[in-house]
Amino acid sequence: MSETASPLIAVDRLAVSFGDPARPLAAVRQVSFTLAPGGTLGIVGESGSGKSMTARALIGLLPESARVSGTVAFDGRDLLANRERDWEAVRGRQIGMVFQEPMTALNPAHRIGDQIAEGLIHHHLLDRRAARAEALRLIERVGIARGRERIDAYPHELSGGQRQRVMIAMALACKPSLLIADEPTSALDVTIQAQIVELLSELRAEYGLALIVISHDLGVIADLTERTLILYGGRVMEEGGTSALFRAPAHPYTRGLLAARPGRHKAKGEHLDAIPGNVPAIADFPPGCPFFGRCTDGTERCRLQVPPPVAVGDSLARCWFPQGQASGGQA
Amino acid sequence: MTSAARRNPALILGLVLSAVIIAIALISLVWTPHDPMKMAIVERLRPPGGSHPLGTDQFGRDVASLLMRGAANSLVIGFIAVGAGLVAGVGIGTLAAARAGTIVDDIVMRTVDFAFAFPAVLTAIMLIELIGPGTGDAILAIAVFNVPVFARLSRASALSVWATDYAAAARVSGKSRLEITLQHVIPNIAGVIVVQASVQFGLAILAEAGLSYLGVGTQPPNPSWGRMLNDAQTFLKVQPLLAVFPGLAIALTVLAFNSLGDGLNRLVDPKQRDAGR
Amino acid sequence: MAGFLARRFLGFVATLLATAIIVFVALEILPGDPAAVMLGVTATPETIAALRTDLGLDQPAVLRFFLWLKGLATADLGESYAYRVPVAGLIGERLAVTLPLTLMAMGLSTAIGIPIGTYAASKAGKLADRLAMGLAELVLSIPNFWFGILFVLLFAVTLNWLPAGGFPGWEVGFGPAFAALLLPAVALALPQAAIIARLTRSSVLEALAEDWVLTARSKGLSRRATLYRHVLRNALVPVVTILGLQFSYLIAGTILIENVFSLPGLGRLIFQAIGQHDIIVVKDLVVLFAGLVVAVNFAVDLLYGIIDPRLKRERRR
Repeated sequence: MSETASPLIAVDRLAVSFGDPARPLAAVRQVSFTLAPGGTLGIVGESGSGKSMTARALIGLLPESARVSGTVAFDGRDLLANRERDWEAVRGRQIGMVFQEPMTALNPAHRIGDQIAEGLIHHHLLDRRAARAEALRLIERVGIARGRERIDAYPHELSGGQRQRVMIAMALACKPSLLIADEPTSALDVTIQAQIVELLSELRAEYGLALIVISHDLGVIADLTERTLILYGGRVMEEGGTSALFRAPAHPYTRGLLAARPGRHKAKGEHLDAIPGNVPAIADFPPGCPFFGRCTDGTERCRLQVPPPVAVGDSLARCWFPQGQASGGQA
Repeated sequence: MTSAARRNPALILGLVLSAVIIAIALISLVWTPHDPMKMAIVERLRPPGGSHPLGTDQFGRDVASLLMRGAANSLVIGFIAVGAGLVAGVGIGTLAAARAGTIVDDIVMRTVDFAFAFPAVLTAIMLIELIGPGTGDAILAIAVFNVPVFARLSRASALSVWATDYAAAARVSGKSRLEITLQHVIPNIAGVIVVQASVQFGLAILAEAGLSYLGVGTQPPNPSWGRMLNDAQTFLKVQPLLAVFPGLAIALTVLAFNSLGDGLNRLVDPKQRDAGR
Repeated sequence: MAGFLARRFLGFVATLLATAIIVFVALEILPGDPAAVMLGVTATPETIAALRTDLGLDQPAVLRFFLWLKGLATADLGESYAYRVPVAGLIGERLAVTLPLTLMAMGLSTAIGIPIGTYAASKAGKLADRLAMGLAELVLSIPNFWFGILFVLLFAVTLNWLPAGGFPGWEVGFGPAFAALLLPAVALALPQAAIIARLTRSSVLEALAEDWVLTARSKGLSRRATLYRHVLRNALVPVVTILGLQFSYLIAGTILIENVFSLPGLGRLIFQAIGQHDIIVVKDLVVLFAGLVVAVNFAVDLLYGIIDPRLKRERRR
């Protein structure tokens, strides 16, 4: 455990569900983690793993129909107890967010400079003129050439990579202490992906940001984060130091993910061929381990009982039959 | 039934209201409380009550009877006009779709766009002037106004049918465009067309009332709601209720068919819950 | 942008020309000799023939068409058969009623429809939304001339607040003239307001589902601020489209409403001109109406570019 005594954010048994309260559809179940100021965390999962819902819960932007429980302590305050007004003071100001789709995440009718400056003005950090100057500085900082012209451009006049840079500038404008990047590179070309990863890495150091990167791309996670959570079916499958976890995965799901990893030059898309079957619909997960059914080692116990976390090396795996466990007596 | 009503209240409201109105119109053909044409000057401008539940007009005719027979006139005009507009419009639209991308398509759709942008009442009044006022002209004018609506809608819907695999398969198997249009396109677009027809029917009632109000639609002594409103305006100070009943009749009828259209739309396409118009 | 403007202008002229041809041909086959109508039943064939020569009706149709076009282009619209005054002057006089009436109705319907539609969308599915949309449905079922009659009944006959009809002319002062146009404008505007409200609602709902709404919220903007600063501007593009189409409805609506309120406007003029076989007035007015409709749509197209920058670029190409 590398967390310090006072974490920036401490998530405890976060759960998000939808639908009929009597028969809820759980999108996120019992997710817990902590992150120190300036620390980094990767959250890995396929679509439907609950990773985006986790991110949106952290910034209070879940769909209206969602029910959420657990605690998200940020700087010692439970965000989940926030009223809407409190959230508005947190969003953008203390927690910034970069979304996946730069093509649709920017308002097409507003100039990019205005969109970057908007948060600064809204949080009363700067007046209009100073906010514009800061927007220009940010545009140049995130690596958009000819910032003076580009500040008045509309999103459609920029490339995908440039738009993602604008998104990053926007999320960082108010100097938040935590940045959540939800699939920051997934919609981009491979060469641009590397640039964006590099940029995030630089800015993290420069701003002293804590960073949560959500991705299905293990390369991005490896480049940007110290610790990683592997999410499947809304549950944490395995967690640990990123490099250790990737070097010696204990959970069959993590092993599957790593085996499916096609190197850095894979085409876009989240389908993982090395793991048989598809992610089931939320309602179809078994009562026990969500990976049961796609796991090659599944037993009746896996189907019925949720496995407790087991320490394997430096990682914690939630598996009845983790690989590399010292005792090995369970099999 | 109750759950259906909760899921689609517009459909239930539309069905019930339009059924009642159609029933009244049908009854009026064989029975009305009084002869709607019979004038009785001594009975003129009576308030509602007694043997005249809705009072009498300036000629002593029974308002309730006039309204009932007026319903029949309105519905017949609307039905024929929308029907004619539908047949012509769907014909034009499916033809354009079958020849999509050709000069035929281009010419047809440009003409339709032009007709669409042109104020419909103006077309109506010009047409009526060409052939003299009367029921036939009201029907023709309203039909003409309906053609571009159905042409546009059926072309757009038909194009999506032409893009399907089974249309392509039919083409490959050597079926003619006409055969494909009749066997595949028309059955597939029928739902959308019926929904639109219901809405257009409401509009036709409105248009007929407007034309009759101007004196160029249904001609006296045939009762018509629009004409009754025009007459009532003269006696607004004496008998204001005369201006209320025919308007209510028009509004309820239009509401009935609009709701029916909305309800059918929900039935045909459940996703289209928030359709603009 | 210049190329786009030029193309649109050509389309504008082509539409007008097409209208002119259609109207001319349609009225050419109109039964009834205007000269005979003007002179009445007592006219002799000789006097009718003399008047026909006088009016230029004895010339070939093609020649008369081009003479008429030439007149249109030079704002010489000919002389009314019925009133024996220049049509241009007649139209100018009547336009002083119809144009303010239409613009007032357009302004009113937008001012009522957009806020109601936006509010309904922000309360989607709730009681306020259902009430607003139910009201819109009801208003759409009511003919605008009945609104007119009911307004007269309430505000003129019963309450005696506003005139029941007629128009005193702008020369008596803004107040009385405005008062005379107020009820007709509201009657014209209400159904259009209902259409705009429904369209705004669905358009706002669609925009609210966009990704960038979440982005705006993630900056700390409240629901309300997001709605007004981000959503509305995007949502109004389709609403502006309908404004162009709406003008055509309003022009048509004036024919009815001007009759309800006995307003000496263009709608009443064309209606009377048709009744009097005043063909030249009819021809000129139809082309004028078509021109107005096309011109408004042209203006609406330009407005898009301001609202939606993406469209502007497409046109620059």
